[in-house]
Amino acid sequence: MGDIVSTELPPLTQERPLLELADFDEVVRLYRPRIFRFIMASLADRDVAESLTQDCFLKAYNARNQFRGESSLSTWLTRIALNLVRDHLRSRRIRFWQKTRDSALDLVDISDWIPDTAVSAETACLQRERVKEIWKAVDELSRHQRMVFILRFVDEMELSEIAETTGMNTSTVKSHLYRALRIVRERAGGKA
Amino acid sequence: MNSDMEQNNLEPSGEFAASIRDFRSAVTHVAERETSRPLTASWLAPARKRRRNAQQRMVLAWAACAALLCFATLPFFSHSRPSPIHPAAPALAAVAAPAPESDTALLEQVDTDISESVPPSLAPLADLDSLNTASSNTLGDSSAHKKSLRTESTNVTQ
Repeated sequence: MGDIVSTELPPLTQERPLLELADFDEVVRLYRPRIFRFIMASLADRDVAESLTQDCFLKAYNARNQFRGESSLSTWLTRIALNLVRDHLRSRRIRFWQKTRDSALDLVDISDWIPDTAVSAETACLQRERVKEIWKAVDELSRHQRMVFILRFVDEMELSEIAETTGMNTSTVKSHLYRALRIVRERAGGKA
Repeated sequence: MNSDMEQNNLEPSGEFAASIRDFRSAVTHVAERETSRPLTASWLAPARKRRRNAQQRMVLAWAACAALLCFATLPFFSHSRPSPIHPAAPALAAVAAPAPESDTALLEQVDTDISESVPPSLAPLADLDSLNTASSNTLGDSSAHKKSLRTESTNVTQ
């Protein structure tokens, strides 16, 4: 992961102790961007991401007494978000006739949000094109592959953390990640 | 060999790594922008409402399932129980009730028919019939007389 730069969000290592769950507003303030980002990257839909983020924190609040601190708070919250995403995808598959993803982020739209790093116009254009291709490729991955890919390269989780969050064993996580990377590399124009 | 290759391929490098990095930056920026608005007190209210609606839908679904199950199993229960009175039974009883009256009437009619005078063409047969009756009566009397005599004689001997 040496090539992946650190996020602007608070790093996962700044885990708050269990007692701080009592200050739930602080928990929401700290983890809301991360949970929103995970859900939005999984579903590519801003409105659904906002709704599921609310659901995630409501569930966490209602189940706060069940949190024993065996895993980190972010792992616990991500697991709740993961289950919500899975349920949403399942219900969306059932309601396939309904118009879904009305507010889905356009791939070009998200590619416009690359931070300006004072690069040339040509480089910026190339970056946008690459982001667009990557996101399109990620969107076409299977559910498990997309989940593992996002947890690894967006949330920057270690393989063991991904295994703990998803309930898979590490070798299954590796297998999904390997396939996801291969597919994304191929579909994103074979640039590697 | 394969696992080593797989392990190496789990870490993107070069231009592909840069693409993933840009992708991550874009997603992070959108997430930050969307969550930058300050939270209001009613931020979780829509989630609560959705949860309540989901619970109500669940209760209604279970109630509908239970009602359907009841309707589906009702015929089996009604067949397994012994039927109280067959609907045709009262009709049969109603038909059978006036039977004594009709029997009485029938007997009376038979009596009337029997008591009618014998037509002239059958008169010789009627005479024969009366003669037979009389002879049988006579025979019956004589046998009874013989029997009584036998009883008396036995009494005497004793």
